[in-house]
Amino acid sequence: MTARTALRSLFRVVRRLPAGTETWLWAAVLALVAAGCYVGPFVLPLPSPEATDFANALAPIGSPGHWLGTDALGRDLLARCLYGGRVSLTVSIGAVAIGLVVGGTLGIIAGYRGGIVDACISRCLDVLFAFPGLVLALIVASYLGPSLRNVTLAIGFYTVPAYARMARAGALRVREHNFVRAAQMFGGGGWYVGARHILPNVLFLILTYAFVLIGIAMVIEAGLSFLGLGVPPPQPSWGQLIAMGKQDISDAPHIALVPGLFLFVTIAAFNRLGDILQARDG
Amino acid sequence: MIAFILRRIMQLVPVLLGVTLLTFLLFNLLPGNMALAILGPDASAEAIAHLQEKLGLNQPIMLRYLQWLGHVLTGDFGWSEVQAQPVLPTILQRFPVTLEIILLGQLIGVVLAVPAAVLVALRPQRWLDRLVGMLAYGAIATPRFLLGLLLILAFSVYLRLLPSTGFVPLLANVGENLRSVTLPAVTIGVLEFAVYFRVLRAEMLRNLAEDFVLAARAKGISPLRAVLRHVLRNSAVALVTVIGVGFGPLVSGAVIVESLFSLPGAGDLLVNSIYQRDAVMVQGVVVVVAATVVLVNLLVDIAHMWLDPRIQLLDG
Repeated sequence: MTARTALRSLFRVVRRLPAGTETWLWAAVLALVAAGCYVGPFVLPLPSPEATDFANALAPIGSPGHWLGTDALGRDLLARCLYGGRVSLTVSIGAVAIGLVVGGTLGIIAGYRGGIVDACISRCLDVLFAFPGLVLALIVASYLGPSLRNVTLAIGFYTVPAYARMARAGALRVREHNFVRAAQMFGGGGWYVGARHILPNVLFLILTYAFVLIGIAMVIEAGLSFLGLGVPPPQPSWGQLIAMGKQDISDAPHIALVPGLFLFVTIAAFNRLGDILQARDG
Repeated sequence: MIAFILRRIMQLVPVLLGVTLLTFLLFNLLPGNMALAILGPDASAEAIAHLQEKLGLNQPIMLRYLQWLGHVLTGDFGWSEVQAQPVLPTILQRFPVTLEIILLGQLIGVVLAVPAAVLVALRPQRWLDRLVGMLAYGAIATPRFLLGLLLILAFSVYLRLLPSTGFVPLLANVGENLRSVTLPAVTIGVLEFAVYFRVLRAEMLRNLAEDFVLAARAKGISPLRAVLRHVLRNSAVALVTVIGVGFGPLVSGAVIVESLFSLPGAGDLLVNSIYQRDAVMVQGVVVVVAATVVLVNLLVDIAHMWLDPRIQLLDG
């Protein structure tokens, strides 16, 4: 049932996007980036992202065989960016999914139950909020050791309080509605009313924020990679590619700028779609 | 007023306690042996046991937390085995650098955002509004280190105007100091500008529709004067809030910026201490940062009351 609720909420969110040119444009950008990262390496005639080609090291953009050039070891930048995008997209979407599930559950419980439960959960969230976000992710990532799973966990941990607050506010609003009162009067228990009546309404509200949060998660993921605490090489990610390009910034700036452009466009698309959705709410 | 400030301070104590406890637990519950991490994989079992004893790692965790808290309250932040230096003086030496780039960045943000928002509020939905709005949008979608790299590329590599690394202390040479922090501060300031501008613009457009603006205009005040005297003043509360709320996250931003520009700030200290499992130092930095953030929030509340006396009545 929950899976169906989730799908239905997701569908409601997508359906609310106004069908303007701008929406289509950004959605197309996202689809293109996602398809390029997840499907592109199988379809396009690209070299392996780790294959070195010293004869063509530091090739500029537009070189034959290397459309977006190569880095100092002659590795193809387009291939590296597409593979890197997989990490960046997977980590940020996964992190937001963790935040949504954990934070959403905590927030709904706090908002629906109220009283001492709410007080306990809310104070804990205050503490998490007062913590500089990146620092938290840094400590977690550093201690668990950098890997795809741990980086996702670290950033997910960071998105929990943001989601919990939103879900709590949503649950507070929804629980006053008559259909919730009616369900309670018919003898519905806390878990039943929470899952059947509160969750679908809150899920819809908080899913609209997912786009914006994915954008934020991408910035953090790139920041962690930049500091050397992201997904470790040889598996590339956009932040890591930019960090590596920093060494050659004066001779071959495109090594940092090409993945930078990928990152910028993707974050801009998530942000813009998120803003369009939120503008509808307001 | 005094009572209000005292009450706010009392409310912030539990948050500070929670933050320190969380740091403590994070460091102690996550897998990994701290002594082993400090000494390296070649250390003998004896040396590890000795360091564990010295760091107090054999005692119960809550006891250690309370001991540490007691020391911190008396101003003793401990001794960093990794750096072989006392914690508090090291932090106090590094923290001004972080503070300088954050405050300069926020200053740049305000100096850019206020005139831009005033101009836009005079003629909303025109080309200038759209242009600045798009620039702000782009700035928000640009991670700080990417923006910093672009600035390095433009001003250090091509124009050769400003240094991309290195730091000159403020007390040693003011001019050189400003040169060395210009790019980091601009890196921070551009994003701050974008955030401030968007909030200020929305707030000013909302206030423009209020009756008091209509009344002022009816008295014959020019649109510019109405915006400057009446709208800006009323919108300043929102701006102050954003500046204050943004301070905490900016510490995270400073970590990245300091790493990119190799500045010897608290963020750089924090990252290195995390790498080296220097728990005492990380806890020290987190306490100082959290206390500063709490203090800034308090200042924001006081600024609110000064800007908008109505708030005092509500809270008071």
